[in-house]
Amino acid sequence: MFAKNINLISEELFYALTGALAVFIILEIAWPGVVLAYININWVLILWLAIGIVILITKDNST
Amino acid sequence: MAKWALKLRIFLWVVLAGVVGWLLYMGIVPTGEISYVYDFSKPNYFISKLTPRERVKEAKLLRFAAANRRSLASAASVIIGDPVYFSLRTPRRFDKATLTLKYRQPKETKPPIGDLVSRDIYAPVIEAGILVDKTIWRYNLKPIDNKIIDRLSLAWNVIDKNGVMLLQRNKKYKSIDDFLNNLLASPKSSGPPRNEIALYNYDLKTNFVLKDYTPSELNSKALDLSSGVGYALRGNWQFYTYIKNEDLDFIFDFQDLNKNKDRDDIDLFLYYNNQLIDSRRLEDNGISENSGKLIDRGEIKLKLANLPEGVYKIELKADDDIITKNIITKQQKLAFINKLWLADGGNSNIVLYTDSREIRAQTVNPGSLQTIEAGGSELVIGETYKQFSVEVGEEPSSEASELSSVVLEKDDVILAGDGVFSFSESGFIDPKFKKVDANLDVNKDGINYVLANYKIPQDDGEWKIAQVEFDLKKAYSENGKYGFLISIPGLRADDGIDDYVEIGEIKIDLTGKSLFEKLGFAKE
Repeated sequence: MFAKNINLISEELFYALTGALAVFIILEIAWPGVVLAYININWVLILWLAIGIVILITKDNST
Repeated sequence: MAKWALKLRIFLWVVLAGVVGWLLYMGIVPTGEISYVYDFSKPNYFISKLTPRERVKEAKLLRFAAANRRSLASAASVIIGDPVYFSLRTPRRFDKATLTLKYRQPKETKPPIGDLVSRDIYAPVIEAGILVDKTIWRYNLKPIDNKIIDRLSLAWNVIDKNGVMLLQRNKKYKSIDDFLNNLLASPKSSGPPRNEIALYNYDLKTNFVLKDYTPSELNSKALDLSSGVGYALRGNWQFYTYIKNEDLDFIFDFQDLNKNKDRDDIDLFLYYNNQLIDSRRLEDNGISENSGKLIDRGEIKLKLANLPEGVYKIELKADDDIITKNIITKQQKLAFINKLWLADGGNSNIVLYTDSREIRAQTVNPGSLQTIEAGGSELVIGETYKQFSVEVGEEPSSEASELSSVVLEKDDVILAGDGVFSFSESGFIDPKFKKVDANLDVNKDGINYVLANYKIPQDDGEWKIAQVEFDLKKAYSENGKYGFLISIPGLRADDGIDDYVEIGEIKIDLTGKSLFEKLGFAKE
């Protein structure tokens, strides 16, 4: 049950971060500096990858 | 899907929408006002680091200590050489930037009793500037700290009105208006003599008149012959000339060195009382090459009649590819302001006359390394691409003259100073008032009045805080980036002296049109 909940939370975070990355990259291309001035996209990408790994691990356990 | 998972999804996407909204808000700045602060603790996207690296040290990296050194702040930038630069990146256009500088200097040893105006005050002037012209790298400088005025204000009578300070050695005038009225009323009036006045950041418009000047047409020496500058000059320059019942008559002959690929437009401006009254332009010839082939660019004739008597300033705005091959004029007075670059023409033993107290020289040509004689002092240029300076000796150029002669062994030298330079004693003219800077000695120079547009910096414990405003509409920007400079004349990284200015924080407040004003919903 616990692993399933973690998996669900991770999935939601993953979707939101995928959206965030897409929006940030589009914004940055359209208006250079508007995102990078405040947010380091590298960290968002690392977090996104980490959550992706968590999803893969917890998916096996939850099923 | 579980209810809580749906709630989490909504929450996360709302957060993302909020973050995007906030980013857009910070980019658009709908209020038209925003502040950026750089305290050197971590990199700042908007305000860059101070450069060049050779003139700046990070406080935490400094290990050397001296008796008069304060304990340095954990995060600060320490300026050890003059000048240093930084840039400001703005998300959109603004009209005004207010720069607030938090800084401090080593504790000074107490000056001798009564010595309130010593010339040995360590780094007495700090100024900040914004780049306004990239062609000639001109910065609009504003005062941050002037210790000479700070100290004078303790000993002299001070009148302060709307940010303008009048300092009098002995109180004679009751107000600044009283002082100005007496000064401007008539040169023969009981007003303060020009040579007793020093200015700082104050544009005092007075009519500078030469009493014994005879116009060219009546001057037998200049009747038949056109005089001029016999040496070619490189890059930009500006000079003063004088007109009285005569035409302003100049012919400038230009050449292009074609050493860089940039456009080489030539702009000539004529000013009277600091107001632009005429201009000429020679467009680039369209050949953007770096072949190094010297080509003629033609000439500019500047002839104007019926001009009122007075001093005129002519300025050439051009890059270092442009050579002013010749200046032919009937004017008798011609003195270059602050800087001139004698182009490589194989000339030797060039004599100039100056009223500068300190001269600086630099060359990019290994064949022009030399020793310059300046009023009895010697300035050795021993390296290329390095500026050398010397205090001009007190030996006058002639018995009756107050000027100093500067003798160059060879040309292709950039010569600079705090005064003007002329190629003959008779052609010398300097209408400027003395400036309150490191080169001024109020006692020796007989200064009794100081007029300054200056605000003494605030004391905030160990730190000092100064604020200056810049007009961004007149500043140069490239891709939303503005160039700033902090100037501390006298501070040298390679002089082995343990002197520095520590910058604790740079804050820039930007103001401009709000979104409503931009959209036309409100009065601008």
